[in-house]
Amino acid sequence: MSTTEDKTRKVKLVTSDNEEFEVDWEVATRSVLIKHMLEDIGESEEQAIPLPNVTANVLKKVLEWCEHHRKDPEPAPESSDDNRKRTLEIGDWDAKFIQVDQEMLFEIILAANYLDIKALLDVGCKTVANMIKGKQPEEIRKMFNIVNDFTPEEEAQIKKENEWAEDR
Amino acid sequence: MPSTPRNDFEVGCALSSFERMATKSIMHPGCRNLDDWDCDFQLESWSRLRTNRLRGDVDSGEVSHLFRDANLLDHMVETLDRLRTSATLLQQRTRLRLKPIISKLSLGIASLPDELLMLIFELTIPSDTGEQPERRRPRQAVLLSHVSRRFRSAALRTHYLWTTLDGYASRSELEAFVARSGNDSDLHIVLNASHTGHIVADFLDMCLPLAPRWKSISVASEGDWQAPDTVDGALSKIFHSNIGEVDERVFPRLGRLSIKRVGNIRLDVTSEKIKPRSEIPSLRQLQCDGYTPVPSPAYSSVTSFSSTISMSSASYDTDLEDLCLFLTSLRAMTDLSLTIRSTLYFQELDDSTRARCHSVTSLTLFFPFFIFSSTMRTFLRPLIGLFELPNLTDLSVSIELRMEDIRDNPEDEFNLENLVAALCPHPSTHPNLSTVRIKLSHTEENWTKGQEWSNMRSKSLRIPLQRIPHVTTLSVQSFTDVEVYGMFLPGKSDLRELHLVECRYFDVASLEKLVASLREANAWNTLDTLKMENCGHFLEYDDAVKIVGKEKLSFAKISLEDLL
Repeated sequence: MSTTEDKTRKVKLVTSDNEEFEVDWEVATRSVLIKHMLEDIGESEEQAIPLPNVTANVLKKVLEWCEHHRKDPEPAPESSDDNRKRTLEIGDWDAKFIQVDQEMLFEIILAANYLDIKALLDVGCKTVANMIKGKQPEEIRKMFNIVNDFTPEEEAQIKKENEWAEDR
Repeated sequence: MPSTPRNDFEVGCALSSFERMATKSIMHPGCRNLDDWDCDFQLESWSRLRTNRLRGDVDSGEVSHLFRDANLLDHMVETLDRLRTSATLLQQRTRLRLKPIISKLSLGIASLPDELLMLIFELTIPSDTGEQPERRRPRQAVLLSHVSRRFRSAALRTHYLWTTLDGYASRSELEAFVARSGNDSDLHIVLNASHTGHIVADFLDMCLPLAPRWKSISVASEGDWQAPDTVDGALSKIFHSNIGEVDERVFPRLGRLSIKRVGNIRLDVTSEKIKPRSEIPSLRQLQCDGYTPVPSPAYSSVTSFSSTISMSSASYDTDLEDLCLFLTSLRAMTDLSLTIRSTLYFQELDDSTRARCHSVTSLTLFFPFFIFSSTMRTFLRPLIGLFELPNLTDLSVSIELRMEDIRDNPEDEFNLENLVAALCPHPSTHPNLSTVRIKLSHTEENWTKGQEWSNMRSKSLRIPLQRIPHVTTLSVQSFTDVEVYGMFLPGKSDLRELHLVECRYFDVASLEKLVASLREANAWNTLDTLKMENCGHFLEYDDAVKIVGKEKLSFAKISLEDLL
């Protein structure tokens, strides 16, 4: 439970490339990981939180999302998983926010996963899901530079499975 | 006509600017851009004009110089525009070319751990929406497993991908899906009841032993005049192991049942509708399209019922009687959603035909392809009158007008008013109604109707506040203007929030008209918030705040540029 004092507090974050960010407590604690770390270190305002898995340019983007969603209610612990499956819709602001190149998109997903920001992870994963939904394997390979590395035996099995669709 | 001091000031400013520009061309004769356009600004002419314009003694030579300068300026603006367009195009092309290079340099999707890849795979499968995307689910699972070894490995471990058992599938496919779905995951059954009997029977033979794992069933029949009505046949095979015997089968997880009957199906009048006899304890969602079930204990736990009804003039009375009877039987239902294809030929039914649904708190009505005419209220009012929903708190009504019915009739506004009034239930029958959403849309644009639509857009959708006196939140989406009417005693209006959603043609005049109507109804002072979401292409926050005031206004807008 956050107090009024918490809300005025500033938090220092240090990225893997040694850049320091000072942000509001309310913004930083959209990340469950940071929230738990802050609880562990207690009142010490000076102590910076190290984020060795996130670079400055990615953290900047993640903090932009956290700033926009700072007032959002905290997601329910487990029920959200079920809701997440229900729809691929992304809000207007989030859709615009996530219009980034592929490299940044996957960096954001990884950062959201590491920092434990479920709602941002959802936005990233839904974006990738939308990209691959309904696409043929060859189209997916081309989109993500994936090599077709099936063995001949696996290819034979795949050929057999392709007949499932042809039977209809 | 003598010029006003303000005009003088503005003209003076403009002339000073021109003069400065002319000075610049003299001070910097080597300026490449100006040279390129053979710039020949006449500083003296501009200065004299500024000094003497009030005296009217500027000679014709100077005036012609000034016109030339003005032309030159036009030319410069045009060229700059062209440059900007070229630069934007160049920027886009560069981005496009960089994209594959960047993605080749980065690890991309390969950087994601398996658990995230599996989460993405799950998301590619649409959940139970009640429509027919289920048909695409099995195909999606197969496609993902054919990309690469890593994708296949992740796909095979994502049990959720393989949980839809489709009646179109071959036996080998079904066996593979069951094996890949894990030991105890929920299963979703998609059955095409139009298939020949033995195909349906074979499919069910394979799936019925897994009935304790069934989470949802979707039964669809896409017949024609030659086909018998097979929906009941399929449901019978599912719910009754032997027709006529009491069903002992249990569906402990079954949460959603979807039944769709489309096409001109020859109804077998001699066969009775299936009536599942056992209770289905977890069944919460029931979705029907072109089919009304008969009351049964199986549906006693249903909390959400949605139905699409096409009332033909031949059988609308029996259709409605069946619907009312069924709705009344759903004792646990809280959410009712009806899509009604409209008809003009509605007659009042006798008083015994009523849907008495005391548990319903939310009602959603959608009228697609609605026939807009003066007689529509003879259809709507009796229809709305069929529902007795004393505990209703939320009402959502969406009407999609047919483009071809718009005739730019002088009575359009009156007809719109009647339409909304007919849709708002009488306050005495719905004392708990607190939230109302009204959406007025139209079928696709028809350019031959351009002028009629343009005129229609300037009409007002007038909402009778006194029909909904206890409503605290009213949400309106419309392509027309919006007004309210009715009058409360000062301070007595319950309306606290008014939301305008995607009223795309709203402008300053529309907003002024709406606020004036709220004031007239004595509903303005007690209103806490007027929320505008994506309203008016040309209506900006600064315009809105002048009319509404900072305290009440909540304004959000995604610009067209952002969306593109």
